[in-house]
Amino acid sequence: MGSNYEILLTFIVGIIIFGILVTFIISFVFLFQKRQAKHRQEKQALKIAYEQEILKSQLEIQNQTLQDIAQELHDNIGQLLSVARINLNVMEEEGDDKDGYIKQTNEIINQSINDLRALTKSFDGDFVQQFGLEESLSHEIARIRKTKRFATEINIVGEKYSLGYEREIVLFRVAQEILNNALKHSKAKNLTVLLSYKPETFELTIKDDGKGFDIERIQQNEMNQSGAGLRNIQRRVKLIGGTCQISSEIGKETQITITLSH
Amino acid sequence: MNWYLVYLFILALATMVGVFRFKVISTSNKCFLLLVLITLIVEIIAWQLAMKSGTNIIVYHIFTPMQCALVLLGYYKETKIKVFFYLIPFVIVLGTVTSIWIQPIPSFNSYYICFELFLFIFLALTFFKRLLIIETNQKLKNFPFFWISSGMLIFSITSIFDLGTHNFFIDSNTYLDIILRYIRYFSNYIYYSSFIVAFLVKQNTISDQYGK
Repeated sequence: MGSNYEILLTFIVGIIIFGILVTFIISFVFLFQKRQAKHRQEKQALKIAYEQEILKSQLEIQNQTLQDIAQELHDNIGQLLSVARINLNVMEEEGDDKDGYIKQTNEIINQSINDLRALTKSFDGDFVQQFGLEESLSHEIARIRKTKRFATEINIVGEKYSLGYEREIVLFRVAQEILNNALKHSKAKNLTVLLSYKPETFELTIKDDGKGFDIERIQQNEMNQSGAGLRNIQRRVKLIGGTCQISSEIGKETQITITLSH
Repeated sequence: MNWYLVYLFILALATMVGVFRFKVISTSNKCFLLLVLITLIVEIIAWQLAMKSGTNIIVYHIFTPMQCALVLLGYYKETKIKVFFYLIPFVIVLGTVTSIWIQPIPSFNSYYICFELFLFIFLALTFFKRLLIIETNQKLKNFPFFWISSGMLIFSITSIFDLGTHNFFIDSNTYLDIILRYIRYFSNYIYYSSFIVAFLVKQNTISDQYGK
């Protein structure tokens, strides 16, 4: 009996050892996969942090460059135009303007000074910081309206809140790029901007009634072909934690919606 | 069914797969290909000897230190742990000393085999530890040594259990001795089948992953 008991015990021990062994290997597989997933997440987080750092640097450089240009336009060309206008005013007052050319030129210069001021504000990143996204976009829309080539409209829905300077400046530059694309390629007559402040999300929608484009073809294009701008927009939106939805078809309107969490 | 023939077939198949994939398999795996080839030859000789002279123990006195050295070399190539390489002369000397003085040739070299099995367990666990440390995007199935180490772990632990209880079961229960023998066969099947898988999968090594 004692011998049989020992045999049974030995076999049970053997089975337990084998069970532990199999469990060990299975657990190892799971542990390895878990660590791998963690490693992938860490790598992804590092990549995002790195890309955000790059974007931040790009933004700083872009802002600084645009600000320098704005400063130069305002201080140099703006001043020169102002002096030219004063001279023309003097000439006009002295009664030299028999054919009305001086008055006409004065008006052109006045228009140029106004356009220059608008352009200066558009270039200036501090404008976004000072007055916010809504005001900056309204200003941008007004600038486009002045060209008299497009009918523009800006609508604001919901109670306004700040998205933070970094996100707002990125959104503003992205919106500028979308609007510029529409001006250059869409052959649209109407441009609409909608800012929707929802409790959970913020949405910026830019719509034109132009000729549209084939999204799939554009997205399949190589880096150096057309579509790089759109990819860049999507990348920048992704880096501020947003999503960018583009809908367009050839011959139909184009709508780009950027969604950010509040 | 002749279980031994199945065992020889698995060895032959592993050798063929290894030879067929020779250009692709990693250097560390080539050590195991050599091991499988030697094992196949040794087992055939052992089989013939057992049939003709009734004992084949001498074959294992020669083969076991060789197997030990090749496994150490394979693991050294895989993990780049220098201690494994320096252990090679030690295991050969230990095998020789055991076969001459401790358990001379007419007797079975069980002490040395036990030592070898514990060494295999240690090597397999070291590899598993290394595998957990590395940061890789590669799938586990694509590490040939994962298969070899798993097979080796099952083989070694089963064999230690078998060796430890062998005499006890022979004396007390013939039926259980037969079961134990089958377990031994199957652990051998698993061990050498793991080589076939290792030769067939993508050849990722942990030393490569360290470099990346």
